Amino acid sequence: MKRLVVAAALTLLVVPSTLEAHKPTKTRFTYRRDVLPIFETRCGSCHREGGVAPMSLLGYEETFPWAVSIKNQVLALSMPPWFADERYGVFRHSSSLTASEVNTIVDWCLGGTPEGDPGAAPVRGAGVESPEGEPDRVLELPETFVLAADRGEARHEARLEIGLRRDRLLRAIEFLPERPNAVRSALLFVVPKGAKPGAPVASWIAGEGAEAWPESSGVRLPAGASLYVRIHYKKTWVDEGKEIRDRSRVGLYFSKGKARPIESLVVEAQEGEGVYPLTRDVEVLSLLPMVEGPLDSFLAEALLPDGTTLPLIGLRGPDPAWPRTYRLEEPILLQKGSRLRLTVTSSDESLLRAAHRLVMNVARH
Amino acid sequence: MTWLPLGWIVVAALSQVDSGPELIWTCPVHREETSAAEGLCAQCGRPRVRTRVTVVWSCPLHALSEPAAGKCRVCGRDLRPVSHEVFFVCPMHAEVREIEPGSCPICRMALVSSTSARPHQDHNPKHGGIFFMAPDAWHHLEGTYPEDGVFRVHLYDNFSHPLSAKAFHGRVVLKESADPVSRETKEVLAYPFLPSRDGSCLEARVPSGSFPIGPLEIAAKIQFEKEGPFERFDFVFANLSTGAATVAQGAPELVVPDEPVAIAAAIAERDRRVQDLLARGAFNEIYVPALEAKDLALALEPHVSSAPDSVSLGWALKELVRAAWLLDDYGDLGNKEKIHLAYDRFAEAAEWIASSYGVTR
Repeated sequence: MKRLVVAAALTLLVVPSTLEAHKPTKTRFTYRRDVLPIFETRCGSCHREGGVAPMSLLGYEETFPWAVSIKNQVLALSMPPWFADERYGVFRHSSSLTASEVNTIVDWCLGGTPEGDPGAAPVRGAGVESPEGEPDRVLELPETFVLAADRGEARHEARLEIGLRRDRLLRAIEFLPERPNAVRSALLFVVPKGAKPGAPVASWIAGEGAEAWPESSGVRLPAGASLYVRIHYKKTWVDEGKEIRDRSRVGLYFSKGKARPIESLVVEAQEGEGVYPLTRDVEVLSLLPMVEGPLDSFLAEALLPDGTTLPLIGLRGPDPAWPRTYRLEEPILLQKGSRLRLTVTSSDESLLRAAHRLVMNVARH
Repeated sequence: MTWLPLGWIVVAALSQVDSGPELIWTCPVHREETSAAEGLCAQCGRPRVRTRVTVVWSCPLHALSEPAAGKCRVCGRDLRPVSHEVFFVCPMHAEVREIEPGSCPICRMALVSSTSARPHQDHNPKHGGIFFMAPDAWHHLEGTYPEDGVFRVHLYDNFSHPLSAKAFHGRVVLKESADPVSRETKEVLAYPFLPSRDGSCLEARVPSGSFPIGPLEIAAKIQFEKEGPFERFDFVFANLSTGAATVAQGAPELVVPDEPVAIAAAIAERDRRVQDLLARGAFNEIYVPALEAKDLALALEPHVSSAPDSVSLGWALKELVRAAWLLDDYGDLGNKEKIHLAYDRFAEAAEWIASSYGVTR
């Protein structure tokens, strides 16, 4: 016993073991158990091996070196690129993080990025939505687009012939990039024979699946019409200095039975505000804000015939690099006589003078 | 007394280490980069190395460390906790440094433990002033207002060790005007910083009486690197700086009420505390009520579905969580503009939560 007491006393001189241990790993969250499931759901369609993002977030070794950047992007609302403010409307396929998801990610990033038990959560593939069945027609860019080695980004426009001899209705349309790691976004237009492109019928951004309209409605494809695509190519640092060659495709899915045609209404803001009077009853299905620069806010409202105001969509800090279609959880019925009002704000006055637009996909009611 | 063989002591020390200092992974260059797992440094890509850390009690001015809280043996100041790395060295061969106890691979002598301070563990003012971290997350500084007409800035490294002020440039800004159209700010009244005679701080002397009586708002713009930007730090002094080192007090454990209304009321109370700290310019203390409000908001999340306007309440909770983390971040940096922008978001969310439950802010 005496020997043990003396040994313990001497040991204390050697190691300061009586001190409370400092905890550099301050977070209770681990990558495998808590963080990975969020990344799979919210980020995995882009941040995966071969995705448009320069790094995968679906593996611990690839993820934790980016902890500071992840924290900053999440807190700045830059990532995931979902700009809709829930107070003004509820949309399908939201990639907006919940309060606890934000907290889990930030706390993990700041708290030592522990991995946790590798067996705790198997990595699941982050899929994107595809319409049922095979596309009825697949169109390809007429030529391969080449993004030169010394260029970081480019916009490319092309007309794709559909070759329809009779009118059809589209139930879904799917943009299929050949090089998903270099294609940031695309706008798709249906252009009747002899006409110029008007409003886009669909948009696609990296990580998104097909644009599928609600059952019993579809976009009209007149005989002889062509499809016009406007593609935004942007390299990540992974591809800097490399030549990128892409020949993207577009899948068309035709409606089999009768369906209500979907039309595009465009509200344009001049000097920060614009109004569009509705001349018939419509059902609003989805909204595609098109901004010409990074704005502070973007708000679309319907001024109803009874004098009340119904918000349709509000965006915070919308970024033109991410032209996303926001699909309403429930269609909104607007009566004839309603007026659509678009208001944008920006600390940069020159941006207010640009023509910011809202494209509304509506079905006749 | 019975003397023991040296090897017996080493075995005892080993068992103590296993349950004592924590084993983590850190970058050999960026020691503030820590992780529970091996891998690469987020800043430079170097492989992380294993490190043991523990807490010792250190004097703010003297390089003395004690195993427990108490007074400095030299000056009598209160000791404050500082994180140290623990490693084992050979008494004869300085190049031998191991993270596990054992014997020297050269002479077989028993290794003895040693410690060194870790970065970013000491943000306590050393001269009774206000302590901030620079945006580069390496430099730190402390502003003091020791007498009327004198503003000083002491500069530190990431271990909070003093740096010579002669390597830095800057100015003190007393008055600014903002262009309402371009929103650009112009300095109306500014004075250059000069190194003090002993080089221990930057000092700006302004005409006596230039400072108002009462809380003094003053901005320091410091250039840390040649050709680098002038970083802004906003100081508010309620009184003259005493010159004494101070120790930040930890917050008591948060008690989360059971009822949603009570949680909302607790968030409103934290919002008032944040407002009070903002008004006093105590930016580096804001994180306490802000992060408490964040934890309360998370406790409210399971109740969202039963709230009358669940969608908007869900928005407010996530907004408050984001804003609280930003207040924590910006509060460390002492940038008033960024702090107020973050607080605008925090306040809007807190207002929404309060009104959802009929709570008065």
